Amino acid sequence: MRKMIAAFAAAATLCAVSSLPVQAADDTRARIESLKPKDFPAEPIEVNVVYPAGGGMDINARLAAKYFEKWTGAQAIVNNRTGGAGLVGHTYLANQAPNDGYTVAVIANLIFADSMLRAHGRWDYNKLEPIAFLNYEGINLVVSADGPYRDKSFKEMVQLAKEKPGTVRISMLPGTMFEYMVEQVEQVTGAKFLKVPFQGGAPSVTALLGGNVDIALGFYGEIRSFLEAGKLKPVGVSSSERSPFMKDTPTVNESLGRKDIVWGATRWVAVPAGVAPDRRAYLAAGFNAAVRDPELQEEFRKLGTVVDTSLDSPEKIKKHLDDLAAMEREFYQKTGRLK
Amino acid sequence: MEALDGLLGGLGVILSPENLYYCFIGSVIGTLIGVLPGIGPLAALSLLMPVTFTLTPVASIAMLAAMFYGAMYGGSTTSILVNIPGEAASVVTCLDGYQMARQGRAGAALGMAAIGSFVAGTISLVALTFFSPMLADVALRFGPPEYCALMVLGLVCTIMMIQGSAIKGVIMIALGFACGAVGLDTVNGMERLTFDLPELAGGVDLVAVVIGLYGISEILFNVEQMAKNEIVQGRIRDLMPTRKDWAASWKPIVRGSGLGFLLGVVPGGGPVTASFMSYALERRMARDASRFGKGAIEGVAGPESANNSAVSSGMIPLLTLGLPGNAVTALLMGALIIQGVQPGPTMITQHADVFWGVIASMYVGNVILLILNLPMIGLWVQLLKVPYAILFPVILLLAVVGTYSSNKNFFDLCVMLGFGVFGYVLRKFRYEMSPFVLALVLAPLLEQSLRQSLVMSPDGFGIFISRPLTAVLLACSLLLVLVIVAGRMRKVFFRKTDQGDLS
Amino acid sequence: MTNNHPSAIPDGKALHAIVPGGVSAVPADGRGPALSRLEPWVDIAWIAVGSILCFYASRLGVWGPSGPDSGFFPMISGAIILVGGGVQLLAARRPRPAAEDPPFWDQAGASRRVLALLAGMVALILLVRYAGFVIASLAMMPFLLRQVEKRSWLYAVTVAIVATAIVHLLFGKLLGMQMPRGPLGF
Repeated sequence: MRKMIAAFAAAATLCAVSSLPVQAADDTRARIESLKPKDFPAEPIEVNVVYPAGGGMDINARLAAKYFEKWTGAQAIVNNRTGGAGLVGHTYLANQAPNDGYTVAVIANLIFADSMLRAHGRWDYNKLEPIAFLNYEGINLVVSADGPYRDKSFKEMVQLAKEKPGTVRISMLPGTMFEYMVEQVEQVTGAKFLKVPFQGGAPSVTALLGGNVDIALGFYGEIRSFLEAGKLKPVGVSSSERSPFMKDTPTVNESLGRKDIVWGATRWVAVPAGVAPDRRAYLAAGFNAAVRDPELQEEFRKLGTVVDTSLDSPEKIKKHLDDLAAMEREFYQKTGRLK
Repeated sequence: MEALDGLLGGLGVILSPENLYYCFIGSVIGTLIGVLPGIGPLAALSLLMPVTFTLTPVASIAMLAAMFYGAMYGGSTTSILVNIPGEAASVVTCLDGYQMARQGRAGAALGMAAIGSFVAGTISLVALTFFSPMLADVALRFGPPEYCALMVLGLVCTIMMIQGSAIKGVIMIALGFACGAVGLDTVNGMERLTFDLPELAGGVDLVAVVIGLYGISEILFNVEQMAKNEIVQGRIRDLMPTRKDWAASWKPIVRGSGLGFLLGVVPGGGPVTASFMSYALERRMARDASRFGKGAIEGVAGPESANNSAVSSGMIPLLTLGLPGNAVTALLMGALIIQGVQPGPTMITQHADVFWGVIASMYVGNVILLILNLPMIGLWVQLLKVPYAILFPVILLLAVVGTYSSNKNFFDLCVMLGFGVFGYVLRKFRYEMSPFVLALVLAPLLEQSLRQSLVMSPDGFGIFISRPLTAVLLACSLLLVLVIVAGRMRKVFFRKTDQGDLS
Repeated sequence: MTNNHPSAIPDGKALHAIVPGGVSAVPADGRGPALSRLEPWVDIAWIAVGSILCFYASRLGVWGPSGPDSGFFPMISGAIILVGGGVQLLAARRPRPAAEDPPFWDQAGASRRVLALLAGMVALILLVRYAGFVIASLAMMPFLLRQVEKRSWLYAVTVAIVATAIVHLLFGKLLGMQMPRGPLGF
């Protein structure tokens, strides 16, 4: 009899425990549902991405939208507002986008450069308020596995660039963090690279494989298949910690013995300022639930990004972003781009 | 042999009801987008991409790819019928296709476009099946200097296309270059010629320009000349190409296939460049070049074959190297990544079923599109009989919605109207629009690759001679320039002699 | 693209007004001045555009440390346009016979049609921006439909409604696009 009761108790506990995740999920859904304002959303939410479809930002945004739909039951359609390397879209979102809650944007920290250097006072990034934090990743530096630099570390290449300025060719996107990172490395080490401009990670990798540049810069998604095939070798990453996907690759800071070379893409979800508090709370809840979904986290991990769930309130996100923006502003002022 | 095995495996994958269904749907939607002015494959694919999340990788890429080359099939339809290009790669088809329609031969033009597209697409796919690895290497070898040389060749082809006054043509090319420079400088990221308008930071929208320049100006012309109430200036005859048409067209189709295939593999090349290079080539090869621009069927067969061929070969760098050559293949890459398939060197081993399934789907898709498009020709030709008074407002409406659809931007509508008036006025003064459009497309690419090459090069312009492929391409361009100049000099010389005889 | 539209042969009224060795005068039938009279203005426009381009290009910088700078291609384009316009202007001294020199408008009454059409197009896009697609289309289509062929308003409005419905279905429902909306929400 005792055994039966014990077994029964064990079974009951097991049932209770195993239904906890489901219970938690239902709780989250219920909470989101309770935040839902009346008659909202009556039509699909427009998730804006200022970069072309199929690119890294776009994939992140589509995944976020997909999981938002999963957790709220509302419809979210991704809209690529491209042009001017993001400037056209950013200007629209900051100045013209309606703040009725139907316009949402997935933004990257590239908005800071646009806001500080190219907006000419027409808008600034504070016009878009963050509601959920997605992920971040550093810029990877790779060399060709068959090329002349395949056995060199980044430190050695910097040394080479110092001794023979202009012989080490590095690809970069002008007017973006890619260019700024290289410039910062040059400034602090005295090295001089030959900076060849490209319009994206994919063309730079093509150039690297064809022997037209020596080091290429790219995000993980752009280089992953080549790393797996053994055609590319990573030599550095410009984030503050090593990439979880390339544990043996030192960070740029490690290679150069510094702490201040931190450049990468940070992505978050934002809405135009002035959205009604209840709609904003609903959208925030939906996207935050999406980000906490282990499936989405796994997808983000597969893309090579790092998820940070500690930033779970708009205030915390804003503080983090303001810090990032301040670092960038300092760099622009030091290099004379900003007065 | 290995490739054949893979292909047969792929056919096995694609011939399942589900995959076939999505390939079919993609073809239908693709044709529709191609026919509708303004909305191009990129806009439609990004709208429909979420639909593919719930499908298998093969089904989703089969559908999206079918939409892409389906749009190439459909794009020629409006070009031929009403002189509005369905998308940028069909601009060249307007030149002779529309003239053929005015002569009552729309059926022949449409038929040739469809069949040429099918033949070229299939030839290109066969080459892809057996030669992908080799071509992947070629794609890699194309660095900025090679690309620059290719663009120079394209520029020379653009010059070759000038049919009327040389000065006017050159002015239009220069204007095209100037408009192409509007936006962000590709080398230093600074704004250029944007006159402080944020809408211009991305440059002028090509779709808006093309629809305005060709479509709106054509409407203005036709409304002005309401002597005839219909587009067709005569009897409608030839619902299909005649034997004479075939005799004239089979070589352009083959040449177009080859040219398109090569240009599609090169990153950034693509259907647009392929179509106008093919037109220039056909004009050059024809015995009587003056027929072009007045309804020469070679001017439809060649470019249409080239653009379809380029679409197929554009898949090579995507599937074998994971390097998208243009915006649409970049989107396809994104769709694959979301599905968990990483395109690249490992794809053919890790996801052989997806790799070969996609390729097989393209064979099947081309067949589906041919079967879809041919019977519709009768329908389209009937459309021409609708009185223009009713037709043109509908066309205008489609043009407006189509232009708006690419960027949801009101400014694009202003661009469209502005260029419509611009095109109308200039055409009256006998300026040609094609050199302008082609220069608009080429200029940014030429400039970027030139400046990249010079940055990369330790010895300045020497880099263009020291690299073999570059040197060869540049030599071809030089040769063509000499041929053109010789031709023009001859014309001037003969004219002078004639006048001398008369006096 | 060459202009292959048949140009109307000037009628007797215009021919008698041609001054020998000079430029044909304005025909009396409202078809506007001859093309050759207007063309110099186009060339002047080219000279202006070319100059502006060159000016802007020089501000952008033409040559940099590693070769051509931002302003290089705009400068060359501007120069070509400028020179092209100038050459044409200088070369246009030869008078052309009337048969080769049609007036600006091909037919009498054409100017009214074209200008009305232009006004209609401007109104259409302004309405699309501020009133949404549906209203713009329903408002402007009947007007445009009557431009070329005078049919009844009923006919025009019916066609407008049908056309608007079809386009809306095609783009809005089938392709799932968001059509521009007006203040009324549709």
